[in-house]
Amino acid sequence: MTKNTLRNEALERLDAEMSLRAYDVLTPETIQALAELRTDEGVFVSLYLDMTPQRLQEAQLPVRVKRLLDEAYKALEADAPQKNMLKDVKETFERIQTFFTDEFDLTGHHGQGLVLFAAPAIDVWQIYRLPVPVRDMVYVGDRPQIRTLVRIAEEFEPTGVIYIDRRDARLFRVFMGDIDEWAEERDDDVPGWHDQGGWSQARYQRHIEDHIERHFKKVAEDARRFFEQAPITRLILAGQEENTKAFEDFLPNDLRQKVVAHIPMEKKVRLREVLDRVLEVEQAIERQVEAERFQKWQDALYTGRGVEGLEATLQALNEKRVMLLLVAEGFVAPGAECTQCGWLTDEADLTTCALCGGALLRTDDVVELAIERAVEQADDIDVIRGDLRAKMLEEAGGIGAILRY
Amino acid sequence: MQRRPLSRTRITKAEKTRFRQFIERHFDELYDYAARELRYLEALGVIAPGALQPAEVLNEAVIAAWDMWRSNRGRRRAQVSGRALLYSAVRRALATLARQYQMTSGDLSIEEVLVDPEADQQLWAYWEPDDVTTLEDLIPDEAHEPVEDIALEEIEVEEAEAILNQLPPLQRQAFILHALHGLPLEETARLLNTSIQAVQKAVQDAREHLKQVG
Repeated sequence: MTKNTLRNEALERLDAEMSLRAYDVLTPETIQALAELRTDEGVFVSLYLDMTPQRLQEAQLPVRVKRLLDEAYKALEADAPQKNMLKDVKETFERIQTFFTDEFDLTGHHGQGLVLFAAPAIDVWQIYRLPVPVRDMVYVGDRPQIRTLVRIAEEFEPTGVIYIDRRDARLFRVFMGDIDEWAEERDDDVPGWHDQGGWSQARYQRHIEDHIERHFKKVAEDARRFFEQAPITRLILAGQEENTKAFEDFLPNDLRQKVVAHIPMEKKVRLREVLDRVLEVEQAIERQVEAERFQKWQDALYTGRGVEGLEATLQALNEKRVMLLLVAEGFVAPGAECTQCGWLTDEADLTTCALCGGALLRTDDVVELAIERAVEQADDIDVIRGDLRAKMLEEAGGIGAILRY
Repeated sequence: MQRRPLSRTRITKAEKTRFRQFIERHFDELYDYAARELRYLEALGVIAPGALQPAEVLNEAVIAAWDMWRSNRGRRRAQVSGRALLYSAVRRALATLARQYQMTSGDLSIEEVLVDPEADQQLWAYWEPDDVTTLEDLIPDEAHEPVEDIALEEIEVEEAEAILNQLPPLQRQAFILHALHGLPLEETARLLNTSIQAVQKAVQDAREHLKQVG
């Protein structure tokens, strides 16, 4: 191979890396941290953008962003908030606008959506690529609007991928459209199938099997260490089926229990392709999980261990009884939150907390607060996006929960 | 509260392009360096002949250099030029890959031969949260590139390699980085975690040894 070819290959890898790393890496821990962020000073702006090719073709991104921010600013002005706040909003919006006009690199995006969190007073500027489309939205408040993020995150649990063949292995972790790869493993001692010298076929076969077994054992041990550092809830084994099936037996029990799919894959596959394959598998699994949980919730309603509708669900959240929260995608409702004890209500016009007598703060979207609360207390949150969404909205008030007791 | 800039780490398209061009420009010399070091490791018996290829080292080094620049940008001011950082990335990649190789086949300490991790850390010496490091800091214009062709005088490189390999590690590295690849004394010293005087002496000793043998 010429130096030119090698140089081009290295540059291609660099390009791929640059596009992947142009964004902040979203992890379950990041979302938890975002849920706890507040700013006492200035504003917290959350900007969600639909980045599907169709949407990007409709209008230039900076133009779209400008329109969105202008509309949000006018709405804020109409609400007549404090002058200081408007000044903070204006400055932050200008910075965002400059970013999308001068700095943002669309060529490396590869996502379907994007979210930007900006809070100048506490030095927050985070951009995440999203693997599914989102509606264009801008929120201004004292905290990040993470409901949309949580909704997507629950569909993309951290998934490990092990590519395995008789000689090599690659380990990946995928979460919400981002991918990390561990060092490539390679066992040069495994002899080739055709390079058998003077050995008998049977003896040579045993020799090969012995090497492969050692290789599989080593990769299984590496995988255990890697996924201890980067926890996963699902594992996909990739490669030729005869290899992935054989390798599965070498995995430690806890990893073996997480195996959800075997998929065909070539070793030299690009990260982008690995991501796409994993996303396909994940979405299929999520639809299945969604159906199962929906059924469980229906069962829980009959046995009294479940609630449906906004009022009952908020009450359960206030009592910290929620084990699993289910929300129909796009469900929004006004309400209020107690500034002292955090009590939530769907009665937006109430001014005093029924629990502690504290002042209530009205919100246009109490569902967002409900999801944030569930992040803290529930085992899981399921945003119903598939076929069951309409049923959830029409028959169950858009939200419900399975209770701990 | 004092207002800070919203973003210190956002990287523009133009910056990425410049970084890419920078790698492109220096790829060949880094390749030669990696190839020479691999031959050295093979001669020492640290790795088997052909076990590692220069391209693998470069792939690893280029990504590492990008990560290094990206994560330190805006937070720490580099103490050496971008070119010296690339050499540092190659040295680190050599050590990582050779160590991985050794995990299955040997126990020689690769750090002793190639890289002192302490030295690597000190390339980013100062913590300056408000002092943004720009690409200009790391990637100088062509016009300011250090001269790369400080020749190995009359000695042919290939013939000299066997002799070079006999030198003590510091002499050998100092000579290769400074005399062969044209890194300034100060940067060579930083890469090798030693003083300028020590590098000067090592290069001088190496030259004398080469003259005697050659």
